[in-house]
Amino acid sequence: MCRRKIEFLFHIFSMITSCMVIAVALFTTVINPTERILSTTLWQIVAVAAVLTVPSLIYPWDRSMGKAEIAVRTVIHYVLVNVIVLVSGRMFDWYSAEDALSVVAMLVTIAVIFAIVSGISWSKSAKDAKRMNERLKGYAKKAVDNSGAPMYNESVCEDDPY
Amino acid sequence: MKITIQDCPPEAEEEIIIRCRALDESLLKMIYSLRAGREKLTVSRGERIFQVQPSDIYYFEAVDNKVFAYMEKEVFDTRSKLYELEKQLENTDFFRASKSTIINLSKVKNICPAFNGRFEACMENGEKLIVSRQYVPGLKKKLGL
Repeated sequence: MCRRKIEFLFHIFSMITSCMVIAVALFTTVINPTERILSTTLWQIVAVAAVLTVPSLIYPWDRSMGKAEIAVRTVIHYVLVNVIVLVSGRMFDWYSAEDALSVVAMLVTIAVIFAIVSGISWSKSAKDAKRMNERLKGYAKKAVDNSGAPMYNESVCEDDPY
Repeated sequence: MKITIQDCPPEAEEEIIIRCRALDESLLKMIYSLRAGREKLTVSRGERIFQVQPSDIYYFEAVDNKVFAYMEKEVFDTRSKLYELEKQLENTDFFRASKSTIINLSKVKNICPAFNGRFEACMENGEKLIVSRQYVPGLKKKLGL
């Protein structure tokens, strides 16, 4: 259980880190192409990405959720992510709190990264579910075949596909 | 492995004969699975005790140290622990879906993605059960993925 959780957190962490590095690269290119990114900034990104991974544990691990609960937890998750990025961004001087445009840029970046990370996770799960449903059709067919007591004549089947 | 299926007269007892050079682990598993698939489970409701086919059970759920067997519309108590049922039904259609449930895969209508890498199993009777991330690899294995 613990190993799976760590694997899951590591997966989320790598996605957040990648998105943050891309966002920083884009910002630097657009706003100030001549500026150099310091190694401390890269470590800050890694540290913030690690902290941002923790709120993804807000969703219960072992039980189903209703639509309302999903909505509430997603909102709490999103608010936590915003707070973490804005507070740490202020600490590391990533933006100026007095400059409204800078704050808006941060909020938009957070929203885009949140959407990308959620979208990737969801599409991976949807792809997995699709593959499982395809297999499930075959599985259901097999179950019907077995329970339908077919009248077999003497026959030979080699290598049952199931 | 060659599989031969022969008709038998209605009055004769059905029989499975395994002709092999040696009883290896895979054959023992197959024998165990055949036996488990045919064995009925003892369940109860109130004072009454019933024998049910495992294939008629949709899922088992542990609630407050009690394990319940859910059929299409009825619910029964079982005396077994969830881990005992998991072991007993190891090579059948059943798979562990979460800490508290064991699901009959042949009663799953479809699988939908849920949050956090988990999945939701929609059962043929309309119920929805969670397959927690921890047990997804087991489900995939069962489906040959």
